[in-house]
Amino acid sequence: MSSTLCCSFAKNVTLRSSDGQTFEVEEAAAQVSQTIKRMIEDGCTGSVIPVPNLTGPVLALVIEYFKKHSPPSDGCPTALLEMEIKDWDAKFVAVDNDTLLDLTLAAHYLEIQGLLDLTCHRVADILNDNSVEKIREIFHIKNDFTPEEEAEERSKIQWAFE
Amino acid sequence: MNPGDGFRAKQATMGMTAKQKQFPLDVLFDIFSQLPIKTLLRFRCVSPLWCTIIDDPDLARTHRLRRVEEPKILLLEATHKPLDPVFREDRSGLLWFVNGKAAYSLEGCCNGLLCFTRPFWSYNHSPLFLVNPQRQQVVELQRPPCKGAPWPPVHDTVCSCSYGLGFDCSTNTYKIVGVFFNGKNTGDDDLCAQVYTLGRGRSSWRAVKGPPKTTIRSRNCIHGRPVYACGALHWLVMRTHNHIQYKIVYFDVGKEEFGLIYPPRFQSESCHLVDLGGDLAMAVVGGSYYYTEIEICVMKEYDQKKEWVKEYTICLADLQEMHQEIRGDNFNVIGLFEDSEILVKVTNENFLFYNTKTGLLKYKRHHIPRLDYDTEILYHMGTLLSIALFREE
Repeated sequence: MSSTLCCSFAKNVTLRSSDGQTFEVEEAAAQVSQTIKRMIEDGCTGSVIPVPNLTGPVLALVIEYFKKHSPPSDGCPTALLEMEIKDWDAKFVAVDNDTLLDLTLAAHYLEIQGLLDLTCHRVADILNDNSVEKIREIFHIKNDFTPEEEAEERSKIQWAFE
Repeated sequence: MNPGDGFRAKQATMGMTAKQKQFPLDVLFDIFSQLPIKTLLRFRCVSPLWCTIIDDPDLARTHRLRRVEEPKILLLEATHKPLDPVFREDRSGLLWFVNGKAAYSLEGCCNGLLCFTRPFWSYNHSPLFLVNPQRQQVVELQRPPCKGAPWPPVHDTVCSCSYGLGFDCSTNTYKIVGVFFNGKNTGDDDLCAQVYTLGRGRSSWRAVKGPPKTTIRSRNCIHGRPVYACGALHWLVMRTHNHIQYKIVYFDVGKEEFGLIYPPRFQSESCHLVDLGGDLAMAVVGGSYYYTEIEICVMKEYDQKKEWVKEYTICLADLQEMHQEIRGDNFNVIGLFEDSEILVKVTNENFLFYNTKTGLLKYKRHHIPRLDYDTEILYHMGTLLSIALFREE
C-alpha cells in the first residue's frame, strides 16, 4: 500500500488494447489490477503495456473502474465514500449482457478481484430467473446435447423446470 | 460521474469477445456457487460442460459454505406404490419428497442427505439407501458385514440398534455410523459400532470402539434417529423405571469417538433433542401436569459439552384454553428457520410458530392440509452434491 501511495501523484502508464487503442492512466490506479501491478513491478513502465485480451471499449470501461477504485491519496476511505463507491459499482455493472460478460472476462484476465466479485454477482442475478434456452443465448453456448440426452437430463429433475 | 452516461455510446461498438472466448471455468464456478440448487439443476441441461461443473463435488462444497440455500420444511411421504422418487416444491415453499419403490424408514438426515433402511427387515439384512431428495437420487449401499468376530451379532433378531448419518467438516465427508448389539449378552458393554465413509467408488465398513457405558442398560437404549449438530450425532437415552433419567450419547463424526453428555437438569418425561440453527438443543415439554410449556435448552460452547442455557420458554396455556387439540406432551420442535421462527409440530396438520425475536406465538390449524399421519416433517437444508459418485460398483 505505502509504495503505491508515494508515487500516486505523478506517474502515468499507457495501456494498449487488442485493437491498438491507447489509454493513459495513473500508475497507482492501474495497480488495482494485479496483472498490471506485476508488469509494472517487472519494469514494463517505460514502454506501453499491452493488454491483448481486451478491446478498446472494454479497456475504457475497466479504466473507469480503476479511477474509481484507486487507493485514495489522503489515507483511509470514509464510510461515506465507500457507500458512494457501492452505488457507483451497482450502476457500473447495470449494462447489457455482452458488456457484462466482457467485463467479467476482463476482471478475470487482469486479476481485479473487486470487479470480478461485482460482475460474477451480477451475472448470477441475471442467470437466476432465466430459462435454459435464454442462458445459451446469453453465453453463446452451442447445445452439445442430442435432443434425447437433453430430454433425459430434464426428466431427471422435472421439478426444477416448474 | 455517473458511469452509465459517459460511455453508453462506446458500448454500441463494443467487440463481441464473449462470443468467441470460452468462459474460464473458475469464473463459472464462482457464478454457480451463488445460485440456488433449483436453478443449477435446471442449468445442467445447458451443455455437457455445465453439467460436469454442476455435478463437481467441489462446487457442492463451496455452495454449502456460501449458504446460498435457506433451510426449509421437507415432508417425506411414505408410499407402498412402486413409484420413482419424486421431489417437488410447492407454491408456499414446502418441499415434498415421495420415496417410492418400497416403504423406507428414515434413519438419519444431515446436510441435505437422507439415509433410509427398509422397515420390517432386521438391521442385519436391510440394505442402506442414501438419498439426495432435490436430485431425486437414491444410492443403495452395502450393509455392514455379517461375518467375523466380535461382529456379527449371534442373533438375527436384532433390535435396539441405530444408524446415523453425519458430516465431518474437516474432511468434507459424510459418514454413516451403525450401532449394534453384539449378541454377547455380557451386560453394559454389549454394543459395538461400525463406520462407513462415503467416498468415490467402493468404500467399506470399519469397526470402531463402541459407545461407553451409560449406567442405563445400553442394549435397550440407543435407538431411534440421532440428531446431527456441531459435528456429532446425538442419541437421547432414557430410563423411566423409578424416576426419569437421561443421558446423551454422542458420536463425534470427525474423531469417530463416542462419548457422554449430561443433559440439562430441567427435565420431564417428554424430551427430545433438536438441531436448532446448528446448535444442539433439548426441548422439554413440561410446566405442569397439563404440559403448559415447552422449554428449549441450548448447549453453549459445544466443545466443552457442559453448559446448557434455557434459551426459550414457549407458554401454551392461553392457546390451550381456546384449542382442545393443543394438549398432551406430543409436541415436536422441528427447527429454527431463517425468519427467526421456531416451528413446533402439534399434530401432522397443526403447527405452532414461535418468533424468537418478538416472543410471539402463532397457532396455525391445517397449516399443511391433508398430510398423512406417517409423513415425516424435517428441517432441511438442501445440498447440491450428486451422490451418484458414491455408487458402489
